[in-house]
Amino acid sequence: MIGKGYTRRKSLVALAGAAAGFLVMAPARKARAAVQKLFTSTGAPKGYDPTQHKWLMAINIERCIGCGLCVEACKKENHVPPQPTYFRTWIERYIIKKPRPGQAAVQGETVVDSPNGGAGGFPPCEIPREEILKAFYVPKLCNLCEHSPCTQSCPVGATFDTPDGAVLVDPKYCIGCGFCIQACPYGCRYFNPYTRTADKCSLCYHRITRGLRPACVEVCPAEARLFGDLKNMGPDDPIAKLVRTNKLHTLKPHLGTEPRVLYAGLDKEVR
Amino acid sequence: MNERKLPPQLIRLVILTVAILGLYGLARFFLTPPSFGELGFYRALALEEATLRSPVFAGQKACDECHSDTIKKVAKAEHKTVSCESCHGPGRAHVENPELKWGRSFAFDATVWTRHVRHG
Amino acid sequence: MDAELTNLVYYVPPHVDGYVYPNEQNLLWSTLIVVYPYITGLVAGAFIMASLVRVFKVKALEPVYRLSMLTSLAFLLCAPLPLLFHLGHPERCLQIMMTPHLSSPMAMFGFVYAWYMMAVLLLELWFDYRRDFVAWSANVRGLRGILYRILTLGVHDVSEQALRLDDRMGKIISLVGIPSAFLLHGYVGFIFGSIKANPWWGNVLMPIIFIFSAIVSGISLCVLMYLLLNWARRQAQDINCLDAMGKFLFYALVVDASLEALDWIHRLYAAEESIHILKSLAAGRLFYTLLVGQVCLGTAVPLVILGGLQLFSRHVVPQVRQHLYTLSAALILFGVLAMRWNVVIGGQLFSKSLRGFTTYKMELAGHEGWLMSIALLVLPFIILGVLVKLFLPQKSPVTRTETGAAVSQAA
Repeated sequence: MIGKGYTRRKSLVALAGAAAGFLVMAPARKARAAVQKLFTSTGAPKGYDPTQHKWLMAINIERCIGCGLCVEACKKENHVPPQPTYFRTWIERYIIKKPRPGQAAVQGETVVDSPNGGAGGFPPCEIPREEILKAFYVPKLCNLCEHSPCTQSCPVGATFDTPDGAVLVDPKYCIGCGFCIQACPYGCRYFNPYTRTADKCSLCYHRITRGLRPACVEVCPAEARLFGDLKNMGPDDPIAKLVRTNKLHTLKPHLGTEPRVLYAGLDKEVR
Repeated sequence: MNERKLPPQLIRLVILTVAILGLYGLARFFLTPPSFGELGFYRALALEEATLRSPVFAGQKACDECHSDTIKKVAKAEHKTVSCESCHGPGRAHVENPELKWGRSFAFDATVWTRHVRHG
Repeated sequence: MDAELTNLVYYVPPHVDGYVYPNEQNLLWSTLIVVYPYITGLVAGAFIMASLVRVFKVKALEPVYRLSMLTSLAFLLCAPLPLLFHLGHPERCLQIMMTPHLSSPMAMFGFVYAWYMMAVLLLELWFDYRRDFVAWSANVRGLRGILYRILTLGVHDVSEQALRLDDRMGKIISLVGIPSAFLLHGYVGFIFGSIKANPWWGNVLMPIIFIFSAIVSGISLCVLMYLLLNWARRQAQDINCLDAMGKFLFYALVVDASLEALDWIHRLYAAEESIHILKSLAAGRLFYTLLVGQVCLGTAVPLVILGGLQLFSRHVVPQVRQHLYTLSAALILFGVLAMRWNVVIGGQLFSKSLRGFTTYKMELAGHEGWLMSIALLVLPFIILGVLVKLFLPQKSPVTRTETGAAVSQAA
């Protein structure tokens, strides 16, 4: 078999042929199937076209009362593990103290806490009222980044940006390496010990595709969480009103993730 | 091109390389999941699978179908921004089976009152 | 990921100082992710040392050439294990090669590993050993003989021309292998360096520091293995070889120490937002592993010893020099492991809110605990023992002649 005719040229051709063949055999299903082919199984919401929507959440810090209903509703709605280290959304309480007497500053120390993520409300704080300059609550969740570092870092393509603005995890494909959890600057991802995959706020994808609002928005009694559709936003939309009447912020803009979740009334102490 | 025979070591190695690359190509062809790459670098079916979970909270609109008068009454007072399920809890089970007992004894408990205290 | 099963039964929160995001309380990347860069670092470093012989023709290092290559192989074989045990779904591990997401540095793993294993390490070993395989397959009986016969791949040509080709191929592969070794370990540094969310990890120097600490640890490992092998075989230690290794170790350590010092100097000078928490981290949670372990014991003391030996080797008796090399190498190996610990665990001990610390609850048993890490660190030595038994027969130091063909002095 070896010996006759195995010249350098023939071997190079054979190698090139093998390389070409291997490249072709790579995922050959490159054809972008129409989105209408999806959502055909019995449980899926019929007639939902992801390309017609671009969902957005906005938070009005002035309104959040720290009741924690959103955190509990999220846990119930999405079957998030109950332990206090797995949260798809959580609330942080910021207590900014007055400056110490003689201290040449406008504000003193900032104390942040989030007991059980804020679920069940916050216990009374131990800092006496006279020492507090101001305090507020900041709900946190997936920031729906335009250039999400989490989807960039997934080695297998198990977390992705949907056409309609959510960032989802594919629990059947995730290998559980945890790279996305490390890459998220906002700490919104966790490792689900039951599914042993990464998990995060899915923007209640199973609700918004059926015309419902995410559970956290649904139960918020103070209209601190606003949910809207960028592609179908009339002037009366609560988010449109918020944008017109407030100065807006996003979290950690210096990282270049371009988060789409808008915060109104964010303080400089919030990271 | 040089027509000199390839040394036997290199021939064996080339055969091995082709075999390994071929095996990899085959594996990739068979082991890549079916809908991968259609919408982006992910399994397109995952988009649909994410919608398959049934909602736990019914939503204000569902309450409105039967209890619109109660909602109108609440809308005039302080609780107008509070959705029914904020205090009464997830109502999906009740929406599906309206016979199910629903109301203060079911999901309305002391923690609701503590919300009023704790948000100070 | 740690203690997940016990967490499900009864959750015990770790001790938190200040504020951490709720999802950050428990560490995700455990000691297994400390062990993995350590192992690949040893692989890359041992290979770089071996390539000093082939590419840069450092004659004094020839006695340790084959041992370095075998060390590299032994550790390379164990490299995927910590990753596999750490995955939430190890049965899906092949996905990383079937649908590699090209924007993720982690996706490189399968390909870089396969390339380095097959196209660099095994290939160079094969070309180097081919002549011996042919000789041994003729003389040795039994299972080992069958193994040697398989390893010849059916090629029995040991003419002058063939041996010259072997040598040339080995040199080319060694040349290609140096950047491949850098890639094998550098991509791990890039995984950390690319995480902009974490100020301890996400900086430009991270891949370079990883590579140089890998080189340093690899050379130290070769020093120790060489000393161990000769001691076990009651052979004389070649002090010239040790001196040469010590010299390269010293210079590599100088570069490594400079890079790590530069990292810190820059951080302290630029004093960005994260500097306060990072200073607290270094002085607090990481005091013993960073300041004592990595800096003092792992870098400063070996620098002094090796530097002193470079200056005063004439005044130091070979016996003592040997012991000093052993000490330095052991300290460096410990220091580099501490460095991996400080990077991986340290980066997760403080919050991305820059407001607090958590603690690492390390398990003892369990697939991510102490015992598993120790087992994964011991396993490569066991494999190396087998490889040495098979491929480094007693009394056969291999030297290279003028033409470059390997001449074995075995009978």
